[in-house]
Amino acid sequence: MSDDLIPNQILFLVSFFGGLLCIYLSNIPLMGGILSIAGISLATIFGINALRHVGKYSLGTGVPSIVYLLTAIGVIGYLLGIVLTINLNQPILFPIIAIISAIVLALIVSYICKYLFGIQVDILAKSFISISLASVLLIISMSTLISQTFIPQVIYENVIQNGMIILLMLMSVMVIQNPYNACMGPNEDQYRTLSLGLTNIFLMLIVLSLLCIFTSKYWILYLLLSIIGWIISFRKYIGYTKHQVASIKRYGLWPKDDKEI
Amino acid sequence: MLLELLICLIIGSTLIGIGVHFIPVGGAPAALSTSAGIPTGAPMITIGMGITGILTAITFVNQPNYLIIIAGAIGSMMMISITMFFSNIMHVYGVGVPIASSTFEKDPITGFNQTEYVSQGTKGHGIPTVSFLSGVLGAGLGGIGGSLAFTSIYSELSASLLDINLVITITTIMSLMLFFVIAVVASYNIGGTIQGFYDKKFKQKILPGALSCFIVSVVLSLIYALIVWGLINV
Repeated sequence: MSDDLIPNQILFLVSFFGGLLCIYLSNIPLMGGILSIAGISLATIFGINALRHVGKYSLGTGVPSIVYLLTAIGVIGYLLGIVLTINLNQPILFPIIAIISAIVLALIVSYICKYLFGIQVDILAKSFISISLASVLLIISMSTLISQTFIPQVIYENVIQNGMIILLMLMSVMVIQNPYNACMGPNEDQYRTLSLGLTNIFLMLIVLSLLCIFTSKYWILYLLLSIIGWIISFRKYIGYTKHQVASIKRYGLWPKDDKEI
Repeated sequence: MLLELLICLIIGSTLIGIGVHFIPVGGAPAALSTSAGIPTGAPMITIGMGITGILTAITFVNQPNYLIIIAGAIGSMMMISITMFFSNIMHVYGVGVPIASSTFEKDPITGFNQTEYVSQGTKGHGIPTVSFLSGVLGAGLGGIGGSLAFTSIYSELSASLLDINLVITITTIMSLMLFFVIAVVASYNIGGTIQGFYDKKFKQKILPGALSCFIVSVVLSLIYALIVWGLINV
């Protein structure tokens, strides 16, 4: 992994507060969906960047399993948030409860990894918390895009009752784990990984905007937006890849040991 | 009632966690035929096994509880046996290597010597008979655990929610999430490859694995009990 060109703290601040703002503003008729798309992008970019930091350590299994674990934790927190806020009749608390419960679960799992399994990685707890936070924000933004609001009762009817949450979960796993898993290596670069992440986001949004057909009349707009975004980000990714290929040619052969990867 | 659910969930998730340790996992090296075991990571094979087990368990909904649990176990065992069988066929007829593992000298069931057949520089290839048996056993444990969790959540929810499709959907979501979390935690404990219960690594790994899965399952069961309580009172 190369050094961060965009600092992780800035990505965290922007995606956490920006994502929460996008979720809370998703009630607005036309702009709400576009804000949800912005929330999806912010959360995914933050998740990918957090994964870049923990992915370079060997945790015993591959990179995708980290994201599987933390997205499942995110979904459990999300379910708890929805059910509790419907019961307490406090819709405004839904993202907060989901985020807090996911973070607590991720922290417990990271302490088990540290003290019971002896995985000595300093940033383990921090990365686990970051990725679970990103996955919760991502899944909530996806559900606000589908149900056009953040009210838990509506999300419960539109996303959970028909089982769409499993699809959303698998899509969010793919979109977070794929870019780093595809780009990792001695010449990994933040811009290239994140641009592949953007490509994946827009590819996923094409499917998501088709899922919005029953709930939103603006689905064709989201579809157009995601197709245009996909073309732009894919061209960007190709450009970064060509740049990196040139620098590999200049560097010479691959390193002798793969500890630095 | 909720206490019963809690105990069933804790037992079920701990069984899943113990079952993962029995599955012979080779990871990426096994895909290159340089290590024995199933050629994928432990989480992936466990999640696949869990999904198959739960799908089989759903078809037995409204039957007695013990039938649902047996169906889940059989579904998982069938899925893993088919995977291991075709992995072996690929290794023997596709790659062209004999099936052997370097983690033990003699297969206790067939009595075949292993070391002579292991290629130099590798840790074995394919899935020997004892590892195959261990995998089927582990899948059985995992299937029993998953379908135990499924039945407990299902019976709790179907007593108060009327829509049966909704109950099945929510129960499936919740029991699948259990597999996703427990499988990855158990595979962090394994840390790479393992060849089933006859492996020396198994003895070192099983105690911390069971303990950690128990701790995680207690936390998860508390959250699940809260979710079920909320769903009943919606």
